[in-house]
Amino acid sequence: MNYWVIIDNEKIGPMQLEEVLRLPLKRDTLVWHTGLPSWRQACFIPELAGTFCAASSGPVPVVNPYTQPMPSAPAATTPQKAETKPPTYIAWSIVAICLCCAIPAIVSLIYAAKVTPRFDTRDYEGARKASDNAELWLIVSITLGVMWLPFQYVLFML
Amino acid sequence: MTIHRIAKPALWTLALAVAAVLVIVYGSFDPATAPFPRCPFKMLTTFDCPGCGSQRAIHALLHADIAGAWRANAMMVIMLPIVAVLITAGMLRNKAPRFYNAVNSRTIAYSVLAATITWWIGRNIF
Repeated sequence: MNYWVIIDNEKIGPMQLEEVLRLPLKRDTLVWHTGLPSWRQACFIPELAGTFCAASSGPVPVVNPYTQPMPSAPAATTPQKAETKPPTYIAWSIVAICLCCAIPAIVSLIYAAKVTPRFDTRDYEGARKASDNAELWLIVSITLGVMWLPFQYVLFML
Repeated sequence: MTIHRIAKPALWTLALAVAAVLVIVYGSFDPATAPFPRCPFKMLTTFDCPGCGSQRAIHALLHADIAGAWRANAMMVIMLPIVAVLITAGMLRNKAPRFYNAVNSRTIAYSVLAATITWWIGRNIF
């Protein structure tokens, strides 16, 4: 069975159960495995809850099942879609500024710098658009740089 | 985007091959004298773009001349290790997501952008 885990807004997986158990999971870390309808907190995944939930929460209080309702059913956890941060292209923008056409590469870097702030403020759509624009201007920069190579020699000959 | 999944290994192979050729070419010839490509921005405006001097800087670095590289394009010398760390973090993203998030912070993104624009304006004034 394949597992996915969200740590620091980052989706990790697919993994086997042994790999999941080695991660620094908390009680409310969201976990999904094949067959589950939605993401669940780690404590509600039986094979994970047995190992670290009991260990981290100390002695488990004995609850009388006849007087108290179930603490919270798995269905009560809000299903959360995992968002992966789109590539920022910062590194490649810098490379393009130094080695290709600098002007479109700087436009690319401006978009690249917007990806993380937008993603951190949960503007996932904006982050994705900024990432796509950074990629587009990166391609423009590289294309112009490559096209310029033969063109400038022709200019010199005139 | 699907292009990432299909073309990634091919792009990496191509990039490494091109890089190997460029290392040989830039190691053998001095861009200050050899007919290497010139910057279109500089030809049109006579101002330096942020990348101007990169070819001379690469030539100097390939001859272990860090001072010469610094004079040719100081930004490239500073950005080289930063770019190396960013690309490594990108490649190890699945294994080390915390490291990736740390180096892709908003602070680093804005700093790099501000440094580039400052360098661009500054090198044309001083």
